Amino acid sequence: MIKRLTSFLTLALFCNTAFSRSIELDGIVEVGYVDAAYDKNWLNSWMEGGVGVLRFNENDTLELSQALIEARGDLIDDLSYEVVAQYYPDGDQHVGISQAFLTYAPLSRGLKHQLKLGLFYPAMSLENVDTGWTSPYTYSFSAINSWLAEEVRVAGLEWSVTRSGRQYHSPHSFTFSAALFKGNDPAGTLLAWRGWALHNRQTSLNERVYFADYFQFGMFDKAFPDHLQVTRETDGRFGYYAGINWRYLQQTDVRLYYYNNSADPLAVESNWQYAWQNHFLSLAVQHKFNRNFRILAQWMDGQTGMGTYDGGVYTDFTSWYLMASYQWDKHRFSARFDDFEVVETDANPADPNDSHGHSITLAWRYQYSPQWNLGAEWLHVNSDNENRTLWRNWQAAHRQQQVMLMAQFRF
Amino acid sequence: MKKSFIAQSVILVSSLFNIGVYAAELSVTVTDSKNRLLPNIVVYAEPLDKSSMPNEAAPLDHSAVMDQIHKQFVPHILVVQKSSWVNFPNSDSIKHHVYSFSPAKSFELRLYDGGKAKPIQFEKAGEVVLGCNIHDWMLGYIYSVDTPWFAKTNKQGAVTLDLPDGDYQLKYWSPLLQNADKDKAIQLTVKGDKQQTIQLNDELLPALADYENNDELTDY
Repeated sequence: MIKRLTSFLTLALFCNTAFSRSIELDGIVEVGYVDAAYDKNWLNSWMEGGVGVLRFNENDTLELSQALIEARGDLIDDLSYEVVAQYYPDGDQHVGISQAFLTYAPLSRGLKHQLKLGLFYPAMSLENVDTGWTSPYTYSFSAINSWLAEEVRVAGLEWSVTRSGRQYHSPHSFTFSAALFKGNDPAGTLLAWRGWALHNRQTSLNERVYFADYFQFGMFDKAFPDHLQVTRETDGRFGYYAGINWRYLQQTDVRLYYYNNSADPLAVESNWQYAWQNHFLSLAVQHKFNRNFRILAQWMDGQTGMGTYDGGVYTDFTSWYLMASYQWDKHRFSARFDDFEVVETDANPADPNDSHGHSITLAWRYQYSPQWNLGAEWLHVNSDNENRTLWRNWQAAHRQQQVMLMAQFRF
Repeated sequence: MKKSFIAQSVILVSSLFNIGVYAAELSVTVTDSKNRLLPNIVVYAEPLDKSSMPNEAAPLDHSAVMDQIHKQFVPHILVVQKSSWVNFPNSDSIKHHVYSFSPAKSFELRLYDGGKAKPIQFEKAGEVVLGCNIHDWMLGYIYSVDTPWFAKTNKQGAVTLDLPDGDYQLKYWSPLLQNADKDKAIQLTVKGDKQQTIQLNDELLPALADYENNDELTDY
């Protein structure tokens, strides 16, 4: 169904271009020099079988970080589409679609209703507001939004209703959203095994995300797959989420969301891919003190698990970040602190899942021209993941540091 | 084409003859109930004898503009004479979907980046509230008046109207007027230059101008 929708949207896109009724294209190509300093070589990216929490590897230098293109346009009156296609040199699938959806936004007096159908992110983040769900602040997303980028994507229908304050002579605006979706059954797999991470790698439709083989030490080899597919539907159940968004003028923005994929944790596929019962609360806040200075924060708290309490995996997960961002002329300086934790709640001693850590990210971005954006980022993260000790002589706690000099070309 | 040329000539000729009639300069200052000077208030003078008015706004005049800049309507308030045509360019590199449900003029207009929309005529006098279906904080007004003598007050709350001697109803409008100040008029006889003060019965509603402080770092 998702495949069909994607091909329909792609077709629509081409028809649209042919008739040039309206198409808006925005793209980003991000390249740069990466210097990753890890104290052990097993701390490389999970995508390459490592147990670290950063995307790049110790021997990486010149990298194409990402290339993505976002296309938007009208199909007919009130019905528009948006498709984001992306390219990454790493991971299982280099080219893919990260979002593809239709939006129906009829003109109405007073309250404004909107329907969204397709593959998309729930709009709970205030950090990832740039083209193609990237961040205008730092190159590596916060732990929370890194996780949303890799493991949360819904294929569903969202209804939202907005009361725009300005139309009512009020400084307060509200939006309420609710959605039903399929897919997203493996949500939480990476948190339970790899733990939280910091990166900008968005998972594509049908892509497999691989991680280290934590199962080689158990009684059964290949007890679980060492990868997940974010849009996988294992149990056939619908998931849902609901959120409220309060805005004060253009100054303060607060978003509270509850997500629950309603998965049946005992549902399992032939390759031992379980459905993960995942539900969480997310609270995001942005406040602009003035035109130059703002703070952003987000807190997330939830649970994920699959199988039985004795033989499966159950964890609580929590993370928050606080970011300050200051714009001076064409320069933007951002500093973010992330704190994250996963606590095991199951009774399966062979599979430890506890992990915790924190990180500091400092970024400078310079808008050289409308097309060119240059910058640098320094990221320091401490992570303590118990399951690293499954390997003989490996330690749980590690530091990782990464420096990036990046150039973004935008069109 | 020929007809319009004749029409233009008539306007030109009649305005030449009118030069001698524009004798008066009406200076108006607008304050609220607490004597604060009010900028951006529409002030207009309607002659009691409508036959003394020059031709209605020439339908050929397409000079009025309501632009979209940085996801805001610019100007916030546009005053035009009834029957005027207004252009809606889009200076942003994104799509806008401008609409109005107002009785004086109801319409919708999809404005694409670089695209050109046909101008819209505002045949009736009155208030037209503009919104954008995509950017819900966008708000703008077109106020259409049945007289050629109109202007908005400057930062000092002042406005000057050049008009011929005669009897007028001096009216004023702002989207921020409270009920006590709506649909009010002052009877006025103009003979030579004249000063007039309009003092509102109340204060204005809060302008909520901070809605204009949007930036690119938003996802809606």
